[in-house]
Amino acid sequence: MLGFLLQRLISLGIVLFGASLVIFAIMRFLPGDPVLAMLGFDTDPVVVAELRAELGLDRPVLVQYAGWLADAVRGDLGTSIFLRREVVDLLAARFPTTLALAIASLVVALAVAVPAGVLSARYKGKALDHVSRLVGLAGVSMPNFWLGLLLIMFFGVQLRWLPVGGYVPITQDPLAGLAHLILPAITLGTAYAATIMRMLRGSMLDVLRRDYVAVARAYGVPERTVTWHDAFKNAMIPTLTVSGFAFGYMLAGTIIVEVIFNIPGVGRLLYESILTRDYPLVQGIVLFNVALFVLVNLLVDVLYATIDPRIKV
Amino acid sequence: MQRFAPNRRTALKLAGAGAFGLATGLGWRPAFANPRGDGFLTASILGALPHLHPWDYSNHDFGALPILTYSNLVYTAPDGSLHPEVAKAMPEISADGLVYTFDLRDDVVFATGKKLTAEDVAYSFELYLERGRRRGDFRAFMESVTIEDTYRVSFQLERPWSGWLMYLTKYMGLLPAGTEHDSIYDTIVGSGPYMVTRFEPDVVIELEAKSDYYMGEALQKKIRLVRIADGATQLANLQTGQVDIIGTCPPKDFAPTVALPEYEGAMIPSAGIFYAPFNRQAAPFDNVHLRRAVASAIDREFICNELYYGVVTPSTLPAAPQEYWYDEELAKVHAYDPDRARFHLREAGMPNGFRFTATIPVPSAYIEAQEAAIIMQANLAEVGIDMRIRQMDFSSMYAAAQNGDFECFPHPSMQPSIEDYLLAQSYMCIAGKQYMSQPCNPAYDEVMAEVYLDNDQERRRPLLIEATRKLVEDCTSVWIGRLNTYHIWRTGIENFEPSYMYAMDLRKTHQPS
Repeated sequence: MLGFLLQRLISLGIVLFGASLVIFAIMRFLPGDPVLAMLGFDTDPVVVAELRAELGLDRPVLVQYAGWLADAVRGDLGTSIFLRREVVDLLAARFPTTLALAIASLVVALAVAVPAGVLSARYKGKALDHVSRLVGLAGVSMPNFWLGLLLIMFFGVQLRWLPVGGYVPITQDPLAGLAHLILPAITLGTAYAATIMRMLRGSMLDVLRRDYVAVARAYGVPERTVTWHDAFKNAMIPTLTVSGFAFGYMLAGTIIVEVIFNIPGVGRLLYESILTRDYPLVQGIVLFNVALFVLVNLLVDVLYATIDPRIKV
Repeated sequence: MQRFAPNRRTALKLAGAGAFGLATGLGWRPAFANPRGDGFLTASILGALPHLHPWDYSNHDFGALPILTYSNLVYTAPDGSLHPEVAKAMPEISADGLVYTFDLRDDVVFATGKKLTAEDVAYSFELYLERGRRRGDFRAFMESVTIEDTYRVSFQLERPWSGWLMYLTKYMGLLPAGTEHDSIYDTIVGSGPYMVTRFEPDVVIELEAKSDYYMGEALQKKIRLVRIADGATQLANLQTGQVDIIGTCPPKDFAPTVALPEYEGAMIPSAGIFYAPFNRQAAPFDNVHLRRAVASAIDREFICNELYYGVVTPSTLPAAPQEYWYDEELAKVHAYDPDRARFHLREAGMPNGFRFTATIPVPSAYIEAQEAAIIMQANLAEVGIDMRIRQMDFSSMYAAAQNGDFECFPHPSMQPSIEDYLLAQSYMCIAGKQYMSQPCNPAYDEVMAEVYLDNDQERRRPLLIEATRKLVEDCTSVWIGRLNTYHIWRTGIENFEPSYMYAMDLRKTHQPS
């Protein structure tokens, strides 16, 4: 296990280095300029040059990259050009919000996907199965910005049951905090619920065909026990992988949901920083997301071994 | 007849459906859906709220903050008129338009507790010339600042530009002498009516009224500015009561929303404009007839009224129809007339039309240029002009404009002032720094120098019309319309109106408890 972890940590370092190179190059090759985004195009070129020098953007690109990488290795991701704060501090302030949203979304996804996937497999070919698969297809196909707007219109504007935007930390006000998370979590969780549901249904169908299930049934074990106790546990292993991936994507893919629901998380921060060409902030967030994604997957691999002792990491 | 005897599961389902139906029908609204009643007047703004620095902003919504926290020599009222602020009266201006002298109030106190004097005014301007984001514009005309006595200060200009007073009210903010430039990114030191009590960058700013404000403590004790980066989301927040005043909404929603009794709204011309400057230094638009052909082929009425639901007022001139320097005869020169467009194409030797690329920002600010570009494309196709659309984000667009990498550039733009700023930047040789102002016209400079001697509208009117004539003759841009400032607020909010300067002015706004 220790060797495996070490190996994965080394590969994490390589992935991060590659990601840093790619994101740095992409940001520099993209058209646009943070200085002009700050000043507008009707600005004195002398002032533009002064600000460019002040931000170190007049140095050769390789020198900029080397400097940034050396700082990043020491844990210093630089200072945001627009927000004038340390990138690390901004991530620390915004990440708990995104984490809360991702956890809530995963809860929504699993709460929908698990019963739907299991029952769909259990009643294969029946009405419940068709409805579940149809809903699953709709969930995967529906763009989340559209679903978000529908939820805002119905539960926020029409019924006025839930807030349509903003964020209240659960630690500050649990009820308001949960209320603010419900609609964005449904929006983000729906697409992943559909994916997890389809994967779980497939695994369940596979497991339900196994001999030990037939034996359990022959012994007269109630169908509910066969389904939930014997089959579900084994069917969960591949589902766990998909859920792990989904969680990683949720953490790194909250941009649209955070913008629509005005949630001050890492996703919205990334969106704004791309528009303003805030190089250090974009680079820092992308690097952070890459690390997060790799770590979540590492965690899933470790969980794998814990759940199923036959699997050795 | 079979008796209805539901089992436990059916009973639960029925109970759930009944509860949902009742909640929906009776209009049940849980308290957590709208956690308000905290004494704050909450306004949402579209642009970023990255820091607290009064001079350093890259979007015009941000201006709502410096208006509440800093003071200037003069201020611009919502209707666009100038009034003294820390000055006792409007300045004395020398006959040559080069010296402006201000007498200052003696009761102005900074947030630091220090009383404002001429030394602070001089310090602020000198620091601005050295570090202010817009220092280029100031450097171009400002020569020196002189402390005449404790409460009297004068400014020597290199050339006349009366527009600097209005410009200042947008991009300035007086500081106590000795303030470190970088410290004001995080701290408010101004002498405005409010102090910041909470600040989360780009999320929320909360402010509290200062009891020692020199014009009297504000009626509204607490104000909250929240950043909501989408117009439709702003409207949803207003409809659910999470916000009291919104900075914008989709244009189509403005009229239906303000027609409801729960809301009020207003729309006034702002210092913003929707226009399409040409790159006159390269083909095809180095040919004036081709510029005129494009200008005559655009149906501005349709774009502004049908597409933007009136939030843009159509105008073929830089002036809005209701402004003192608008000229009806001049407005007819490039009014929508496909036959005249064809005439100009023939004059240019291209009777069958030509092809060009319009660079548009996506997403745009204020209105979406993309929508108008599609109508423009259709209008131009009618006369044989093939307009291709190149979409760019704002940041890339700025770079393209600066480098001359464009042919025509339809975009909405907010200015400190149209006649006092945009006209100077558009065509004056002494502006010189902007690609779009070239090639310039020295005769235009002469007229504008006279315009900028002072702010007397009666004297300026014929001169501004003369300057506009030169712009129209040379057809430097297609002027499509003037952007309006429009806001919606909850009924019951008092003393709020949209402002010519676009940024919300909440200094006198009040929400009765």
